[in-house]
Amino acid sequence: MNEIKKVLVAEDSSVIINLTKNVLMFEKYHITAVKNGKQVLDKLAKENFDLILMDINMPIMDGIACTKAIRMLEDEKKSKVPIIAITGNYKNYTHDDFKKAGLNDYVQKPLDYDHLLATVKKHLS
Amino acid sequence: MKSKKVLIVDDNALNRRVFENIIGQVYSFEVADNGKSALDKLRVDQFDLILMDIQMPIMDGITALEIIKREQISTSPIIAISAYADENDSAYFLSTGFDDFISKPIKPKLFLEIISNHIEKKKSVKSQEIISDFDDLELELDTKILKQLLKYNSPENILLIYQEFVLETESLLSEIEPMIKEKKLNVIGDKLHIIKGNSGTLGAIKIFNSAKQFEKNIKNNIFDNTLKDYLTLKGLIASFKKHIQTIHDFNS
Repeated sequence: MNEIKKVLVAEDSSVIINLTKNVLMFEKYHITAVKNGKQVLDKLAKENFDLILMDINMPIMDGIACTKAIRMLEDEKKSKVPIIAITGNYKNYTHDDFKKAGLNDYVQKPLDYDHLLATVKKHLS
Repeated sequence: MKSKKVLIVDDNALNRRVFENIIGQVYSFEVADNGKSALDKLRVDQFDLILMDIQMPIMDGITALEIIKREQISTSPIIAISAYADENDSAYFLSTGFDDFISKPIKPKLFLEIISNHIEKKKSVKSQEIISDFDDLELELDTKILKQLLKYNSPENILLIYQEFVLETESLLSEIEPMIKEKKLNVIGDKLHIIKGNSGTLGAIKIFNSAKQFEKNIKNNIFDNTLKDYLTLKGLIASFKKHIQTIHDFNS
């Protein structure tokens, strides 16, 4: 029996959070949601996750800054967590920028949930 | 046509046999003999209804129900079955979160009726109605995207998410309005970007196209149409809201 995977979703739109929760619950993942990069770091300080879905365009601390901060953490369980970017690419980041920041993968907005689920599964297996 | 599946949870083999005989006439089923093995099954498989005995060894039915709800293992109806039953018990079981209650010994015809009601009626009739109402939104919604969303969400859920989308978009628009007046045009792009992404994800095609064009103009520093773009977008959202409200009113 597989243990239940824990996914942290960071996204400032509650519409996208709710939809994403429903989709991920379909696979029985355990979902925690936060609204900006700073809250991601706060959560991560208290518990470990198997994967983080990270919106790039967030208030307070955006996804790129947050990913860089996570990769600098001392605890490897935390610093090596797979992170998938959710991006509408408003700021014209390139694939290379994502890689450099330490993101493992990205899915584009508007979200295609079949694709999102497949990408999450790929990094959880 | 046994497309629906029931999980029968009871520690007594004779009881299980009785349930299997009745339920098996209409639905496919699996069995578990205590709450813990029921959880194991629910974690790897989908069931349309769960029939849960209360008193069982290893893990009783109430504990199992609590874990199912807390860990969101299943959203299907869960019906308690118990021998200890009077009116008060029934109220108690419903208050703990069971969807219904059946007392032992069971009456086969009534038993099957209760189960079918929960499986067929609650879910599909209402869902079908909402889906056919969504069809009326053809011009507002990209049906391909809607279909994909329906794979993962119940129509009831999607309706809620659309309502939330309208609220969130209205609030973003109310932030945009003063920025137009104050000519803080560059900040508007951020808000439009959220509206664009969300409407696209939800298949609200008219809103998506309008927000996309608006965002493009702002990004390219074309400000001649800003007020017009804003009013167009606002109008589209008002019209979308009206449609969603109509579906909601029909089904509530």
